Amino acid sequence: MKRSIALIAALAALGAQSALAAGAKGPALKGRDPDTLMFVLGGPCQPLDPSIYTTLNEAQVMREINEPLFGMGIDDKFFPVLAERIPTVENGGVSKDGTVYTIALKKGIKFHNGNDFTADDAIFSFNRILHHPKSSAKSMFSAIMAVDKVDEHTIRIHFGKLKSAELATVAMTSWADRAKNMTPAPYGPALNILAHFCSGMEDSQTVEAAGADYGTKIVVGTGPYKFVSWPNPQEINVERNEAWWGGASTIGFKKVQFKTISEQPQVNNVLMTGEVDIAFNLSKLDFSQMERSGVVITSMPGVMIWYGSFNMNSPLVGQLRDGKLDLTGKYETLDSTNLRNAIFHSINPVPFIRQVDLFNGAGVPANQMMQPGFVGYVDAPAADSPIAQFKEKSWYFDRAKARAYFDKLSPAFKAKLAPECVVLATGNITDRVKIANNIKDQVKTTLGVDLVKVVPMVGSQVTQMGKKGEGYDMIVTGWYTPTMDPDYTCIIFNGESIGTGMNSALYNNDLVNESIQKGRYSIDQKARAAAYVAAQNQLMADKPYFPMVNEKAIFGTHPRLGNLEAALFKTKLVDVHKLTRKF
Amino acid sequence: MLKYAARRVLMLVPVLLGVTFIVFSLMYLTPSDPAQIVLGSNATPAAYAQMRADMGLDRPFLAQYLHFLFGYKHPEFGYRGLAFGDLGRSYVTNRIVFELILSSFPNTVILAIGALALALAVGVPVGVISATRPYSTVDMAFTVLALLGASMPVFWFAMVLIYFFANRLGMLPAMANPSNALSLALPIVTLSMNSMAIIMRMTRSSMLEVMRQDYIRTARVKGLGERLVVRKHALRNALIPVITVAGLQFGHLLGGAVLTEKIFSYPGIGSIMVDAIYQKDTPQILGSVCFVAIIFTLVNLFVDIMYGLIDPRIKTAVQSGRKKAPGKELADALKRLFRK
Repeated sequence: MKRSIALIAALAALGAQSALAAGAKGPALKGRDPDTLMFVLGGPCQPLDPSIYTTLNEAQVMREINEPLFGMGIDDKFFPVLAERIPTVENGGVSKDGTVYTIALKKGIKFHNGNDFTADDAIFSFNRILHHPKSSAKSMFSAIMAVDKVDEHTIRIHFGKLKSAELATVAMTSWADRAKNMTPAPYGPALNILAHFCSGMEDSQTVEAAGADYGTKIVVGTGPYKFVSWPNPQEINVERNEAWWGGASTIGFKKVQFKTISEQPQVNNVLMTGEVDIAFNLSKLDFSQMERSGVVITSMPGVMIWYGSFNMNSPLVGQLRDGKLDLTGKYETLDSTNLRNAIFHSINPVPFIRQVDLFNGAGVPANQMMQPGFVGYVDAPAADSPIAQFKEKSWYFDRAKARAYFDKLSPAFKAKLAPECVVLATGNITDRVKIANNIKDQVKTTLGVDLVKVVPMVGSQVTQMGKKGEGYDMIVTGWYTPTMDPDYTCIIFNGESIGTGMNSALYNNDLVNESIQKGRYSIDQKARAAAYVAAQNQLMADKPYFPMVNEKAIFGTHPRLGNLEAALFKTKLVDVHKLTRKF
Repeated sequence: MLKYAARRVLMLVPVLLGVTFIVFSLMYLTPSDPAQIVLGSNATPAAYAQMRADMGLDRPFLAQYLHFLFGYKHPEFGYRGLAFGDLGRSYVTNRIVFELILSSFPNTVILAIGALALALAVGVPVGVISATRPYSTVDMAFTVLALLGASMPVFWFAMVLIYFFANRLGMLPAMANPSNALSLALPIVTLSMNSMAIIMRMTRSSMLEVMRQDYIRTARVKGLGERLVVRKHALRNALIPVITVAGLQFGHLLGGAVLTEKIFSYPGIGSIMVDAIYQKDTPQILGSVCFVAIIFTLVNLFVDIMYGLIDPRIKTAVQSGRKKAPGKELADALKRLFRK
């Protein structure tokens, strides 16, 4: 008995000691090399080949290895990385019609293996993004029509658009295909895509020599960190590039180990025990406990929106007249449109933003599909704009309005409404299912009928259904805009995207489509903003989508990390080389 | 004995074929499109169709199954087949499927050996103590603990261990790494809990059975001390079914470490399987599941053969062709376990 008491006392003393240790200096780094930064990734990486693979995990690693021509700062301003300067019409870098960007590359830049970075490498990299059969980013870069070499350190990028909409289904596998099917046009988000992590520059010689092993065993870039090893799918090691053109002395950590931990509670655990330094995929349940342990929690507006879509081809909530999509503008008389409006005004995301096991406050209600800060975000809606109905504390929720729309339904239509007749499909991911169940409950409470049936399914099944527009009335999902430009967000509601699964509402409104085109093919930011504002207003009037939550980007860091304000981004990516060591 | 072993090895062929067929059929029926995984969701329908043809996915089911077993010829997506240990590269990670499996498998073996060693080190003595004091308070307490160990969900137990030993006390790491022995403590304890309970119950039941035998009474009558009777006469005989169960548990631990590996972020074959399933990485799922199934079957075979070596009655029975199969022995032992 005495032994047991002594053991319990010793354990309690140890606990107290560790709690004291987790003061201002945070959890102790037991047995860890202080020069190695431990970075948690949310899932396993695909190959480290920026031209082809695009999930956030490998993007985070490649960001330190393969640098793009331009970067985007936390102030949303562009800065040159491997390019000499930001091209503008004024400095002659952009042609007057906005279709050609002449980009001078920095001289003397070397890849980690000592090869020179030249215009040929830049052209090779863009060719891979656009024409490699496995490239998943080719649609994002599809406005690039051609890339020419001016000299060893200068390239010219020609932007364009398809000669006709029908060509959208034609696979373009070479520069010749692009020349044949495209015509020059200015491209609004040109710098956004050139600053995107997929446009990290690659060494043409190394990539070609490595073959299928490139990206897993051999990885080369010009960046501040060099690839060292990838011993297992959960661990990637990189080390400081002592010959980095930006100055190796500015890099805070000698080595970085990227460690995959997909279980969110475990991410919180290893931050609290001091086994890792930084993570972005935290469980939102434990913020206060983590802060008590000395972990620094940083929160900022993100680029992820959670939204729902109504299937516009659904006889229950769509916009069909005699079996065809009604775009006459007189669709307010349709029963299905009234039911859609009734459901729309029954929803209120504010309570589930507060829900501790869902967002736990890490989000703000979204009043439009565009994210705050983007070009064309409707900041101060006109009084007659549908967005003016939005209220910070209750979103568009309006019980009286919802009931009024519901009461307008014809008796024949109402008679068809069986319990759980509206199918709400969602990916079988805990958070999505929770959001969907919230919607179900809110609709039931507001309208007094349990109309919505939640159907969780495999993510690819949801995409397949969205392509055909069959088998669902509503979908709950999320959208991440890594380019931080509205053109990428517009993919969701662009009529061109019908059949891709991304426009799951099958929404096709000429005014919105034209506005998107105007925004895309203009480099005048004011004209772009006006076009996107018009699109947002129309979209919120038609209500094919219901934007719900703009999720915040949240990072957990060890207090030994400095310069967080310059290194953490709303895209959830981190400039690891900018992080410093405070102690 | 050789004849018996040869027969068991031959029986493996249909078993393994059955396993591969079931695994392949399940993957075939899963609603996911490998062409979409490779190309992403933005490709044109023509590109998807081309990719499906390149990957051989436009062929009939049986043709695809035969490709899976004996190879598929294509300059980019070709492989020699499962029969030759080659399923090509993963669609998602672009790594060679079996290279990844073979690099992770030793990590899982380390965990399984550690867990089994702990389970035996605790389960056998506790089982013996329980059996020597049947229906006493100590026996009841151990029985309750064994029931808890067998029924506790792994993920919950792991999180409790992490909370106390890593978060509160700071004694052990929450993240496991094969190169850091200390970091293996929590996953080994987690993984061993279920096996420990089973081994403990099996030891107890087997010991109770043996302790009732005439030769034990004879040993006592001869004046041997109780410790000697238990250790020399009872335990040796009682351990035969325990060894069988332990062998089967080892196979189970190799394939069943999925949750433990995932929770402790441990780079074993379980983590690979889970990640591959999440990403619908067909070749990696097929490779990993078939590999684990083959290992499990081989461990079972080894246990069966060892059982014959350890217990001469089995060998004799097989030679004379009149004894029930070792599997039946195990079934009887398990029946006894639950009867107790």
